[in-house]
Amino acid sequence: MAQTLSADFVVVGSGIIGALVARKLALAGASVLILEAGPHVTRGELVARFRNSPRRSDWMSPYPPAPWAPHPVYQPEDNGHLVHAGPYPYKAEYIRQVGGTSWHWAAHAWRNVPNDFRIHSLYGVGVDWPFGYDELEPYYQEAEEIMGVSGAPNTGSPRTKPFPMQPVAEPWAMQRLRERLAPVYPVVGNTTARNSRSYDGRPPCCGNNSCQPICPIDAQYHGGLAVDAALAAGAKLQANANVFKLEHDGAARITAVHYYDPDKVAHRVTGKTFIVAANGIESPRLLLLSQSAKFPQGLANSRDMVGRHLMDHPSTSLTFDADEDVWLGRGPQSPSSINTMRDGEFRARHAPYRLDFTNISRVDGATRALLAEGVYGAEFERRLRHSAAREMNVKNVLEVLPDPRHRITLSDQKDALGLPKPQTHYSIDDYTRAGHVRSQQDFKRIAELMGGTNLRFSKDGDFANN
Amino acid sequence: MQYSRRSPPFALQRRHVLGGALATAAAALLPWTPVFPVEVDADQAFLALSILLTGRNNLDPALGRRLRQALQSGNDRLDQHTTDLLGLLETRKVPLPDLQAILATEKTAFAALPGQIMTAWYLGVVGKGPQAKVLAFEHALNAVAVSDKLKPPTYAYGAPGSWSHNPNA
Repeated sequence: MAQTLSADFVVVGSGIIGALVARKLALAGASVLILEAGPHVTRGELVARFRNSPRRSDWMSPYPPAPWAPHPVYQPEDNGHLVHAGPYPYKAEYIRQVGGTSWHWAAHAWRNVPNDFRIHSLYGVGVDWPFGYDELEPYYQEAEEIMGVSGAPNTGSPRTKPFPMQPVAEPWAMQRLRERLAPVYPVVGNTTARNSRSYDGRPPCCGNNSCQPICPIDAQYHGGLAVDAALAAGAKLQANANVFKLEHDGAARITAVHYYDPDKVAHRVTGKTFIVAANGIESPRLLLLSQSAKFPQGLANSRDMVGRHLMDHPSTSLTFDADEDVWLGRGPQSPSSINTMRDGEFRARHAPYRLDFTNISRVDGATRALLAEGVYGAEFERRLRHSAAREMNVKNVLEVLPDPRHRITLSDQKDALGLPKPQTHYSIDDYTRAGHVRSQQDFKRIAELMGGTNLRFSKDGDFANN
Repeated sequence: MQYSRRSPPFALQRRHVLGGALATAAAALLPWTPVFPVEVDADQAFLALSILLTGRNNLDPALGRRLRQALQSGNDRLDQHTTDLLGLLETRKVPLPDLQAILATEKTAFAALPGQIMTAWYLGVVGKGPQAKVLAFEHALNAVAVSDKLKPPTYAYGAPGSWSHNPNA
């Protein structure tokens, strides 16, 4: 044991959740220590990595895993950290570094809609939550004011207080969608943690169009900022501390955590209260790893429920060419969507969904397509400009119901530290597939309203995760 | 410029005799009008081929040199392949739309070269998989080709709201 750290509250994981909890506890006067498996990486370094990446559309490319804190990456090769037991591979991506995975999110900061909390009572599917929207509403507001959230007023989530700022200006392409899809579909601004004005010491969005994988100016909120705020409030941070075991006493109270540093030297950290906030895959993995004579199946797992009900919001999509030049890539990446299919009686039969329009520049994708086709000469540039100006994409964002068969377990395979890797058991059920099928009607109608040609649906049976 | 009117025997491997359209492409790089055919060094030949393939006659010679050097690290016959491909384009007058099909059919040793050169210029990327390297970002041709409408990702588009304006106006 190289050293012993201690705090009133020990938080495992430095993502938005762990860091916001740490901040609040520190502001209340508690001693707080955040343990993060991965390293501290600066925004400037991430921007440089992105610009120097040969895989600019691989949003994990600026975030290679540290050897002592592996996370899954799939390009240029699958590093095998996440083992897929099937039947459907769940190629989740997450980032183990200070600040966590929201370094490369699109800043979507949606509230649920009230009926999400009662889907079993209302629609006979899934389960009801043990509390309702109204109880959660003040916490939504608190988080939104910390993060700097804006959005449209009519997305189905009522508010008792206004957003802390006005929406980010609408890109031209989204304006054209809104105008041409009305009145069939109301296209509204997304609810996002992206500054439309200077806020909390950060600038407004300047349309850098690299929200994923990295906002170069911190106009977009992320977990690194949450960590900064926690540290400013008095919390301590230990980076490069890969927690692999929770230790309990005879009364089954957690008394310490153990972590490996980059040299695989084990350290023990004591505390009064421990908060595991290491994401939906590494959190259950840690509980399952924390086996003892008293708890041979891991902690909090006497009912074999740890790691079960693995859920995501998968997507299928349609790409098409509009009949006018809209030039995606001006402004933020993910500005607008259609929210009318998020709730309704249909939820008894198929998954609800949001329809999301990308504003990510098409330039790199169009370039790769032309290179693959073998186009040369002036024709290349002509077609590149055509695709960059006209390509549009709409995707669904589908609900997944809780299913105990979808779960995280420990694999027989070991990672570089000798710890069992996380293993997924996952599939796309009929409810979610039916939502996908229903959304195809919307895809086609949207393309039609935009004068769309060259319709390219995502490969049948392929569901992207988000 | 590495242009030379002389052709010493020891440098034959690095020199290429160009004529017709290729010479015109190469000549576009020169500050004077040469008497055809011209002899150019490997950098010039690479640039001449690049001009033909990309359809752009204002390529940056300095970037061209770097791209050629990077491509060479994965193909020690790059210069020979460049000569061969230039020769094929010149002697057979292959129309660019037919190039890919002809290369695929004939399975020449340099079949992959046009795609590699295009990838280098348009994406700024040389090599594949874990060996891939980036040599250009904002100067990659795919960024340059749309620079009147778009900024490269990570570059500020402009003041807040500037992206609301009609880009076609």
